[in-house]
Amino acid sequence: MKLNDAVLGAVFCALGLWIVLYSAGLPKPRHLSYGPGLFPTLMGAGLIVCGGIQTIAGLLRWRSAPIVERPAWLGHRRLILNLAVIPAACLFYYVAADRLGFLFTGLTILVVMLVVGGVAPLRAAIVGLVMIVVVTMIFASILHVPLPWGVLAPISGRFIW
Amino acid sequence: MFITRSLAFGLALSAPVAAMAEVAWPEKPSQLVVIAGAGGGSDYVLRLLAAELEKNAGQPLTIVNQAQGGGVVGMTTYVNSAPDGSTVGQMSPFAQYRMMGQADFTSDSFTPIALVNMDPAAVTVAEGSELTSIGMIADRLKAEPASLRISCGGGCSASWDIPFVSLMLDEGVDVTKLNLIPATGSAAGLQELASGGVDIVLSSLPETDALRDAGMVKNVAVFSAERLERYPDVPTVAAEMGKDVSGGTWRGIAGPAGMEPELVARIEAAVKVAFDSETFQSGMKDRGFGAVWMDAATLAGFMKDHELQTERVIDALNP
Amino acid sequence: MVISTVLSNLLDPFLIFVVFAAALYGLVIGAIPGLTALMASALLVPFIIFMDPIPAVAAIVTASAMAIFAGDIPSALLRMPGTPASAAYTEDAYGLVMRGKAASSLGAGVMASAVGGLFSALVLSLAAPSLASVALSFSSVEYFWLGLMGLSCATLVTSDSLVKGLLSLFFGLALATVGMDPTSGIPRFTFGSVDLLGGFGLIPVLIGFFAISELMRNACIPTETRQKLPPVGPILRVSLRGLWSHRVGVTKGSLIGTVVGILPGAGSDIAAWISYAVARRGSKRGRRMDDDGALERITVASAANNASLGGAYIPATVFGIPGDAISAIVISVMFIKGINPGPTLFMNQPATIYTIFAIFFLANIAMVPLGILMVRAFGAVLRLPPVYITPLILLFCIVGAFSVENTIIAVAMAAIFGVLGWFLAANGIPLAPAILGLILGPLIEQTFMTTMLKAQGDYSVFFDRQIGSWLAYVTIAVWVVVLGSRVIGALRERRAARPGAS
Repeated sequence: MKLNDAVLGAVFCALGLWIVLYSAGLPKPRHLSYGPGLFPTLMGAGLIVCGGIQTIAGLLRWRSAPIVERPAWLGHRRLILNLAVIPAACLFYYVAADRLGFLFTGLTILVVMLVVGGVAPLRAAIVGLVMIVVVTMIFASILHVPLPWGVLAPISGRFIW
Repeated sequence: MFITRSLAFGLALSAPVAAMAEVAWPEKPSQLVVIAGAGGGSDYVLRLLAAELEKNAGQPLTIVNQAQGGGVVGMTTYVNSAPDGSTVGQMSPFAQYRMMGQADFTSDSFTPIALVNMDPAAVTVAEGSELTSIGMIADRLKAEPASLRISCGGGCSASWDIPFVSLMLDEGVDVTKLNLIPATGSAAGLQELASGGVDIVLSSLPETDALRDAGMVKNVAVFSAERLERYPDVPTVAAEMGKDVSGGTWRGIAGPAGMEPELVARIEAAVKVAFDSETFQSGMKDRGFGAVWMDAATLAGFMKDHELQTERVIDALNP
Repeated sequence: MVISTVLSNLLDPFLIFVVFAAALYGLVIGAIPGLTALMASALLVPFIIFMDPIPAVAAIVTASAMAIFAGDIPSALLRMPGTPASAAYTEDAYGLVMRGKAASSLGAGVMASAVGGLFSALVLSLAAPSLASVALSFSSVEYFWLGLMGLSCATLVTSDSLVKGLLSLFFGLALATVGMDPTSGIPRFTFGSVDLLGGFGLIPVLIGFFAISELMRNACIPTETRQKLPPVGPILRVSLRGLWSHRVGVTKGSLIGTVVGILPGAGSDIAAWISYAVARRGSKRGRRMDDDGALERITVASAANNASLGGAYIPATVFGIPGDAISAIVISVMFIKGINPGPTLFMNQPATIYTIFAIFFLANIAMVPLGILMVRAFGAVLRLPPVYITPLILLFCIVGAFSVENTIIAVAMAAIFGVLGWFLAANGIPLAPAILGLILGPLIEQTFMTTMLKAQGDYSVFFDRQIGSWLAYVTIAVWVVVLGSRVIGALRERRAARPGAS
């Protein structure tokens, strides 16, 4: 997923511009003529300047690079799936963990990722179950990380040692 | 005579049993949200309390530290949870969040349960400072309100500076000109004091122990009605100024709004047993934290007063 | 008298057991990508509350020292730094491993960490009270200049494009401003969301940028064509020889680390970055882009990284002022156990405090054999098929992001920064400067704003204080030299390239 330098620079420039505009609306504290907006404004300005240089450098070499370089993995469904499953797993955890609990959410993530990676489903289920039980025991039961229990909440007292 | 004696005897016998039976919380695995990081003063006080509660009820009470956003994140977590007693949280000064546009908590957002700790604010100066009493500080600020650099020992418009500004308001100081400087915490504020970066630090007394023992700082006043047992040499603001201004930080337990009175009473009773325990009392004393008890009804009134005092100070600071 | 009490304290079998268990715990947590030294320390608190004072403090001191070193292991073997400090030299360490020099790379890390730790332990035992008062002469002015000096390191860790390095730095600094403004309390860039009010935590961003983005980078390379992890080989001999050959670097790193560590508010992250920059620019050897140059830089930065921990205990034990999140936890454990930090601690309970220092000393010696053992074990685990490793690492990333922040949004943030980091890395934007910006941004902004509030807007205050003005001139000189040399270098390259191009 490689963008042309000019496009990338422009994206940063736009981000910097937005930060500067947003910061202008922040109130100022007592006694001073500048406040919480000062630092973001400077950072936004930095992004605009560096993004600008990047854009110019990219425009000078505009012909040598395409706007978006087509990465090799786009041709393989397997690799796309491999890639997409990682952020998808985290987002699934974000959405489901409070309701399902860490154990079942984690189990789902592990089994799906193992199957996507090419492990046979039954084997994936067994390996995933062992992994999640061990991780839950270490972090929730022994180390007392307040991982969500979800559906197991009413009986979770027995699993916290 | 005989009757009263046997009655007293019977009561004495049944008291522990009754206490045990009353400890009906947490009756299932529950969470206590602490609005500060692992290892701070709040974490210490509430972990001490939670350990007792857990031991008495035989159910886990897990501490969840959520210090983000100066405590707003943690309070939001428990205010938005189900009012069934499975999630409660730390009750500490909250009124400033709404006035500073950070959150919209009022005292109605919570169900107060109990207060277990109160630490009055203290005024500390560097050793060798010409300001040796709170009276001198007030006179100086009356003449030139901006002449002293005052570290809030944390964020400003919070626990430590509100009683101070409140006193200065009463004294007729033009508080809008006060030079209040925020710090990342009491330790950072005291470091500034030791390096000559500020003139006054507002914090609790135990936090100044190490530097006072080193002979680098001096406590000039404490915002409480009476002198503290642990610090008999530190005069009170009440005695020095003749004005009963007290305040500081306080820690208690509250839940989301809408908890059943019966449930609140049950939690309050369990917390009271933990509060009275030898472990909690001596643990608080060891570190100089003030063990102060307030039941749910008293805490509710106290929270209203806190809102009024905070409102008065913040309005005066930002006319 | 004190020495004999300390020795008899150390012979307590329970204490030895606790130190050993804490060492293993710290090493394992630190070595697992996604799990950090901060998490290792925070999770210990509920356990040690119920122990005797000395074992309790010993456990947390040992575990944090081990976890900070162990952060180098996934950094070298997986390109996933385990601590923000190891992010400075991840590229060097991973590059060496991939060129078949795993033993020298990790050996240099373990040896330099141990020596740096021992050096700072020595300074700690001999001079804690007198050095601590020096640390107390630093006010917000000095920290402001120190922070600005630290920022200059960003230009040094980016070898190819200065503009891309600066873009990353500004991006990191901008990220640091999200959430409640620490000075005024005004929410910035939060759009009314409580989740954003807390800002972007350093650890979830670190996990996203380095661990998750690296998993994604590997996921789109077919398994067959992925580069295999070369065998590690014997470590001890190689690393002892390497240690002697880099003795100047180790000394330099230990010194810088201890000094930066003593300053509360700086901490091990900044120590590692500054010493890395010194190694990279300050010596002919460190400037070289070959294996020996990389080893020199790793040695200096690893030594500094662990030395800063001992340095941080100086203001922590003498004045109760923490240098970073980890020493803040150590201080509160000391308070909880009645070992109240303060100058009186050295007078009233000398045996206790020197026993703790002795344990820090022993922990750094034990780091060598245990660290090598851990490298071996971890190397063996990584030889399992990646199909099994990837989901497990992701699960650790989730647990790690969650356990430091205790909010579920931290997991979503790690995922978002994972995608972002993967995208930025694919476009040649280095990620390390963004992490540096996220570490230093709040320090620089807060110290600038509080200084201005104190001085009521008078800028001359930045040059008025004695130490402050010295730091100011050094910082300005560093920036002029750093930017000047980069710009001149770039112009020279362009001039050299021009005749060929036309």
